[in-house]
Amino acid sequence: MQAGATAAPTVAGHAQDVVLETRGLTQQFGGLVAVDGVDLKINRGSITSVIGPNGAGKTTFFNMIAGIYRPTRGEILFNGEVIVKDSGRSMSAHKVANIGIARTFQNIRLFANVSTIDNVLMGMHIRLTSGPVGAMLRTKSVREEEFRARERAYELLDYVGLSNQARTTAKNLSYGDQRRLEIARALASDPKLLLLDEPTAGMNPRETVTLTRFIDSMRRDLDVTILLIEHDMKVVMGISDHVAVLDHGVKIADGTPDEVRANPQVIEAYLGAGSADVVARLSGQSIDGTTNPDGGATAHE
Amino acid sequence: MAVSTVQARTQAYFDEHTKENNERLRKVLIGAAIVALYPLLDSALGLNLLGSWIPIMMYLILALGLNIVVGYAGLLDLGYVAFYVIGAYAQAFLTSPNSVFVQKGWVPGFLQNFWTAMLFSWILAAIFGVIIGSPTLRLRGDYLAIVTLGLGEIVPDFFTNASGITRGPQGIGQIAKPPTIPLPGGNQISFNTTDQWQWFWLILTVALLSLFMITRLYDSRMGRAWQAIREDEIAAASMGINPLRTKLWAFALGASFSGFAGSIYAGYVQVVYPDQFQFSLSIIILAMVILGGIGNIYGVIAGALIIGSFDRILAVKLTTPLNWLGRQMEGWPEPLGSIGEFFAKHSLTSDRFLIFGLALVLIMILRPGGLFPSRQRAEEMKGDDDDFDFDADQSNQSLSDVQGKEV
Repeated sequence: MQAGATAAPTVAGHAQDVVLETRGLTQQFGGLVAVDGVDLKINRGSITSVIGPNGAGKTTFFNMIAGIYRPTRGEILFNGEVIVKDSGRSMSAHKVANIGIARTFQNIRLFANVSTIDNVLMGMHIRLTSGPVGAMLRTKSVREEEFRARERAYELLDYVGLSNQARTTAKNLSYGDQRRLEIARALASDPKLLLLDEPTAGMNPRETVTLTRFIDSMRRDLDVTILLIEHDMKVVMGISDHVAVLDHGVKIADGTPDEVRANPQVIEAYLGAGSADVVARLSGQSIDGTTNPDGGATAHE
Repeated sequence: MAVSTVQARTQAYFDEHTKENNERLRKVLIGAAIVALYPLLDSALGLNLLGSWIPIMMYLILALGLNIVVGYAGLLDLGYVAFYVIGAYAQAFLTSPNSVFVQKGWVPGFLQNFWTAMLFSWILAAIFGVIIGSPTLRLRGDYLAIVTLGLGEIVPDFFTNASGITRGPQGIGQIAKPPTIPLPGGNQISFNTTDQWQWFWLILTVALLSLFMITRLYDSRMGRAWQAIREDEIAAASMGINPLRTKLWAFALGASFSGFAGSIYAGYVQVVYPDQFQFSLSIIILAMVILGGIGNIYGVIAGALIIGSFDRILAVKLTTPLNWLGRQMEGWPEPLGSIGEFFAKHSLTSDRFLIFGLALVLIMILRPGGLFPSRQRAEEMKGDDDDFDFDADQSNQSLSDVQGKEV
């Protein structure tokens, strides 16, 4: 995909500012260290991916940023400000959303029994201001705000291609549409950083390609930085500017997709110990092409 | 181009929405106009039921308020009567010459008026909603139900035992009634206990006002936040909705309508004492909400009217035919003869709770969303949870569960 190729040099070339930074982020559940001292920097306007085999600690890492889990150790900085101090209180989820970090969920968590447009309006909550008294009196400003909110909701639904289903109950949407609605709902809060937790989980290859393209186009169309969590390498490699690899809670690699793909440690994490040697022997010089024939295929689609 | 279509569609959506609302408002107003004519019918037919309809309308206001807490925000509150007590006693403390507060001269003159005291009780109940809600709303589901159950017992007990200020079981009498409104031409609107027409209309007005405010609240940013929290608390928090604050608003606003009803009730019966406020009242109101259709305000109205009229009117009225049937069965073959003997002397009023219970069980089996479920609940009841791959464990999880104590 050409977008990934053109965007990557920009990231490398310019001294871009960092939207989110984690320093030594650690999460322990009893004796289990789910995430162990992860440092990560996310540049503004980029698509950064965190990948790793199942159980690597990706979602835990993500939930610490989103304010669902309190990190055992480590700091999180957003726009240069410390939002989670080392071994201090975490920022609760609704505050995280308020400062401009929106998210989607690995197992879709829409408001299933309300309409599509209401889902988006609920996502817009923090961008609206009317209180209960205004709602009871239904003042002019409240009416105008409600109108503008619906206008914006339709725009967002148009953008994700769901405006024809605005009044459909969310749970009656197709699986792929539910994923899109989750993204529209997250975008409704005007986030600076969008966290996508395995957005293609459970999708068939065609849906995956469409959604991957859509995520790529979001970065171009909107002023938003994207942090993507995936275990599917194909999705990640085509669109990411920057990839970090977690394995058993530890960050084992960090760099451009090509750097990560060639990293022997990554190959071992995915294919098992010793496999890097095998792969290297089989493929001669080009580790790249042999280990990831699928990755190449996606890029040409 | 794209913008204009969006605008047009929004306008269309809005117009349709406004049309629906106006249509509904028209129906409600027509219904209210018919109800407002009831006292004429009552006296023309010599029914003498106005004294029963007034408490039913009071139940209706309570059910509307409880619907905010249980139906909209999904918080099971089993102690709703607590706020009714607070509203009623607030009215008594402010306006009765027997109240300690009035005797000590702590109540400014303007607050000793029925109307201002009513407004004050309304706000006071909301404040108590916040005070009681802020520690308890951190709990979820069953735990919240148990704590509110306790509160529903504690508050009336407090008023029984704090006899220094509440005069204990004896209660407080001589509560202010609304001041007489003079009309041109020498007539007047007065609110003595015998002026049941006026009371009926007053309570009908208050019920309509409550209905109006609550429907508007539901169709607003706040109403959407309640729905979001009820659907999925973690997702709602991730959208920036503060779960605790949203629940507190629901609790406080629900409590305020309870306090509202309590203060009018105190003005109507002129005396408050703790035995008026039994735990069973919380349950009756909850039964109205569940029977009618949790979350659908029109369903709740239907539920309140059905249960209220049974509680206050039908149980008494149906006893006569039952006794008559019993007398006819005299001398029938044996098992029937004894049943007839039982029927001949039985009073249905003692079966009220049995019948409410049976009605609830039947509704839960036949129409689990209530008689007239809200759109949202109806969708929920349809199930289809398999294609919406929703882990039941997770969706019931509250945010504080995952986070530990952090909220």
